[in-house]
Amino acid sequence: MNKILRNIVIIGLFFSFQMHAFSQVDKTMLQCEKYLVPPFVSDGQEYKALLNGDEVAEFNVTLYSGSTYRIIACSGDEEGQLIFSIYDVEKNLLYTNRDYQNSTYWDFDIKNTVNLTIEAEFVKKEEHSGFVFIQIGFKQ
Amino acid sequence: MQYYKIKYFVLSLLSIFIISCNSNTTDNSDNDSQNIENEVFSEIDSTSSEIYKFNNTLFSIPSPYEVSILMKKAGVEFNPNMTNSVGNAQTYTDNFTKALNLGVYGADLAYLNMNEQIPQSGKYFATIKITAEELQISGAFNPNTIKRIESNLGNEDSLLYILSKAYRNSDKYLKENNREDIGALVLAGGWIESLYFLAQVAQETQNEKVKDRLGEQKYPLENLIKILTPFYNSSPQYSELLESLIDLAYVFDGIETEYTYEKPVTDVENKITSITSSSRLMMNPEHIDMISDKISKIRNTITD
Repeated sequence: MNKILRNIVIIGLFFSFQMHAFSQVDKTMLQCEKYLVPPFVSDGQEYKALLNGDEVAEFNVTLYSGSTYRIIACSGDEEGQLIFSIYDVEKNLLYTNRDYQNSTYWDFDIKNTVNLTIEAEFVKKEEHSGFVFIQIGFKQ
Repeated sequence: MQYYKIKYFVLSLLSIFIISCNSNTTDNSDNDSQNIENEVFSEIDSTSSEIYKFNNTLFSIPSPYEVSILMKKAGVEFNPNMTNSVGNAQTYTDNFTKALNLGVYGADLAYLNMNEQIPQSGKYFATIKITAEELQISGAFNPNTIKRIESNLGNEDSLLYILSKAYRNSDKYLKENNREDIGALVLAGGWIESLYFLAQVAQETQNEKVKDRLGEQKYPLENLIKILTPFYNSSPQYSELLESLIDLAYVFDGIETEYTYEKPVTDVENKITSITSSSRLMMNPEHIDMISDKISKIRNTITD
């Protein structure tokens, strides 16, 4: 009997937390999507990474000359919980939202085509774990 | 005693279920719940998605729309013979080919839409809809999205926005349902068709902007190879596709790039940063011919 109950609880825990995870994912997605509006068009991809504590997610992108892009970084219910920084191929820091009150989004005017790495991490590393979303939109 | 144990378990289960459904979960949730949540997240991490196994490194492929927009901006004339015929769709019988061609037709639709080919756009959209249904990506092309696309076929900007969102939803849906292999193929098909367009136009017109954009595909190709690599052993078709892309990457490796860093300029009020660093491609006509030859063969293998 005890074994059955234990199994029920474990299964229940798994599904309830999975539901919790997915509901958090959907809410975070919506939070991100409100900034991806015309004239910005999605690049058609979904960038999601799971971070625990001090882990850093890396997103490799190519941005084309003559275009303006919007990069949006979201995690959790509240805005400003995520630091995102952009580096070039030589690891020069080109931008970090840390300098701008952890802004959820920022636009980038690209003069020449560049290959960049976007790094995303939680502001309060010790208290956080969860999904990180990056969305990229471009303007015609 | 047994009664209390049962009661305890049921209450625990109920309370956890309530926490999980509560959208206002705060940092004050008890630490045990957080620990269990972390464990469950770890479980999801290790079982649900290949993409998480790259040590949280993700790779982006440029949207096919960006290529179509560039070609229009560069004044490239519309060529109706470049797209994959919708008639070919009925010959695609397996999910591998259907997924690749869903990407191909998406890039074709972007190209037709950018060139205001409204009747053709309608036919391509109908083919995309059927292919998506056959691949069971119902979430991405729901009736509301389909209605919006159909009523905006003549509206270039709206269609671009709605269709990009539909492809993003499809990418999301496939990733959430452990079908990253199919999602990666849709991306690959779109990129291959875009590169095919660029190579054809670069050869025919010698347009400098188009040639540059062709050479700039070196890094997106590396990213695409990284996205596809986890599925290399999933089928002989997958291995063959990946090997052909790696072969193409060798040609791109011959194109040297020269990068010069410049300090970006930020306009805080408008939340915009200008990235002014420059990169120069050292590409010769042989590179273009070789890329064109190889991408045409890859593309024809997919579409024929």
